[in-house]
Amino acid sequence: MTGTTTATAPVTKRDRVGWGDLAWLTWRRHRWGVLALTAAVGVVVALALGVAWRVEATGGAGELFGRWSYVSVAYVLVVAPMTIGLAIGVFWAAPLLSREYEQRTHVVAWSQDLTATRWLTGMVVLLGVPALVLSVGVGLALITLMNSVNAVMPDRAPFVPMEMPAFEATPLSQVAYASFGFALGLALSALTRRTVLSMGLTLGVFLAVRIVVSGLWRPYFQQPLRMVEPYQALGESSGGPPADAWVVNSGFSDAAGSEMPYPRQCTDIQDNRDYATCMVDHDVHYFSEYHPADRLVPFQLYEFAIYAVLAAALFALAFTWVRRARRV
Amino acid sequence: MSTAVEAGDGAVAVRARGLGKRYRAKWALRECAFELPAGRVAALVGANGAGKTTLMSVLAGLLGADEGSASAAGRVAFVSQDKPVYRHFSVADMLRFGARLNVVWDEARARRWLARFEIPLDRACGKLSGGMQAQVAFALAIGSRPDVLLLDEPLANLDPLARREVTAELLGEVAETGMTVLLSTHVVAELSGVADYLLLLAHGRLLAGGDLDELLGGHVSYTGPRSDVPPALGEVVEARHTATQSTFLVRLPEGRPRPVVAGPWVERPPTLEDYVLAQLEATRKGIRA
Amino acid sequence: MEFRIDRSSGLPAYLQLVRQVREALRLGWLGPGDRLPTVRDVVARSGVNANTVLKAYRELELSGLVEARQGAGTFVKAGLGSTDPQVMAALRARLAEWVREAREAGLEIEDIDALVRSVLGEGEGVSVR
Repeated sequence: MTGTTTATAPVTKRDRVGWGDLAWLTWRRHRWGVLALTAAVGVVVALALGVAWRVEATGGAGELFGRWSYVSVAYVLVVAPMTIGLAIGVFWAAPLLSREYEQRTHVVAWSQDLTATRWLTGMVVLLGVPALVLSVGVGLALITLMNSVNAVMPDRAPFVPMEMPAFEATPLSQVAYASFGFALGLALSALTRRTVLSMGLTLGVFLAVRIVVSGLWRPYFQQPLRMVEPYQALGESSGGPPADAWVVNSGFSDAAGSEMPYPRQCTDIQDNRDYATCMVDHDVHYFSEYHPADRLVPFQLYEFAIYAVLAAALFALAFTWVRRARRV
Repeated sequence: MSTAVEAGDGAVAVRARGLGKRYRAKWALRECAFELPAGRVAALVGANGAGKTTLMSVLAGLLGADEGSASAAGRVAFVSQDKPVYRHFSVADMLRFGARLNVVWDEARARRWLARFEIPLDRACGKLSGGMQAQVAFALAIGSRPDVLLLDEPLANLDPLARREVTAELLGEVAETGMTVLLSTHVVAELSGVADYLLLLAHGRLLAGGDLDELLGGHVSYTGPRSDVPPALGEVVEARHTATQSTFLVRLPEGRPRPVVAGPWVERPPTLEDYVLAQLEATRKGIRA
Repeated sequence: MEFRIDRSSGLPAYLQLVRQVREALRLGWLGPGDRLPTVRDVVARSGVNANTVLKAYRELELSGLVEARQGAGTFVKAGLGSTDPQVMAALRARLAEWVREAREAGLEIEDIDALVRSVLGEGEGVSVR
């Protein structure tokens, strides 16, 4: 009887589908996306550390070749920590579910011996952890670079810890953006079930949230300190907020510190000295609103909390949406 | 061999109780209750849109029920109608996938199926024809050695020869492994001898369910001269009339001897198709009324 | 032996198998001691459900025509040639004559079939067995 031939063939039996199996599937399914982003991160990290090493070795940030100086390369590279969270969301998370839905392969995956939730947990952990590692890695490499550049330009350090590129490169911020980007891409992936659409929406929403939270909201996480100085002080190096402070607003004011419009009478005066005199005569003062450097950590924790809450909500949405699918 | 098939005697492989599933306001499945005995090859029959795919998806665990419950004894494998595969995976990768994602995996059985249908292992699934992709999907399901195999329109998009071969191979696997099969189809003509159990679905409700031979054996088709009533006692499922002739499909009263009809009436056993079409027709009339 | 299922027939598939075995016995294609094909073989070659084959074999076993031997298969126990071959031949000749007459009278095969069924139906309640 033909049935007996199969009895000799080994049939593998196990208790459950393990993490190794999920890792195999994750890698087999997403290897090109993982490799591409890892390679890009590798290039950025190598460049950043290379430039940092050169800057330290030469003791100056100016030279490289042509119009390119080390500091200008650094300015380009600092974009990486600001975009990696976006790249993770758009290229890793947004296609994660939508591509399965589009190719109908979720039906295959979820009708094997594992539930949709377990499959999704596996994918999120196995892609999410590398995503965090890559983000933090990029951030740390860029911090190294920024510190080296700052060290050789002590009189006017270009990278202030409280300000945009430096603030974003810290591990805490990197974890926040990467988690948020991943969760956002995943949730949109689950909701739209369309790869291109979810990638586009992830791009748009991520940028919008980053602009609102980091661009518009962050300066007012806490009431900025206000400093009002007479107009003359503007030209003196001793004036103004401390160099490591983050100035979020500045302008002309009266002596009491209330903002005033630019005095029109002085506009047409060509001579610098007469111009200054005119300004002083009109009682023009100069105000600055700023956050001192010691607010860095509280701000970072605050921003981390915002993105962490958003990410948690989006992850919860994605998992619930998948588990309670209304259609196959 | 027979022991393998009969091992599940008395056990229930798939059970649905008051099962309901709705899409927004529309119920795709309602008050669906049945017990499919283990080791059977059951046909889930109904018109398009009757709720077959919904029932399959709920049984496969891909959709949650809105009412009632569904349960299957043991491990369930599901091959959906579109028979999806990972397009960038090679056929060998699909086997690895099956081995990785199932707690039981019978590599030899899956490979035998692929070899039987001459599917190259090194080809990317996306480069295979639709029919070949279907064979990969079947091999995956067979290799996972399920206790319950759910097949949604398994023969759709296969050519006639492949339909016959797949049916025969599938029934061979059933004979060897003793698994329970529930297959949905709207091509009733191909079911005779293939299925031994019937679940008839219309408009999301279960019209009939039970052993195929018993269901059909309880019905007779009478053909004779034009008449308003059939020549023997029983519930008329369907009556068709022409100017000179009448045909009745009658459900015989239970527990009584088979009636003897004489004279101009010819009786014959109804085919599965007669039975199914008559039942579906009856509900359609019922809904219109 | 080779089984085939007529899917357009209302006769349950297992009864079709039973009938085919009985016919084979009657026509002498199968005799006592012969082994029936295994369930797996029938399934693979004729595309019928294993349960159907088992049901047919059980039916044959109950009617005393075959016996299942543990682990060896199912074997024919008794023949079905009880009618005298000469009588059979005579009956067949008369039927052939009758069919020829019917054809000459313009009856199609279906008409003949209907006529035969109606006559058979007069004699017994169950026309199919």
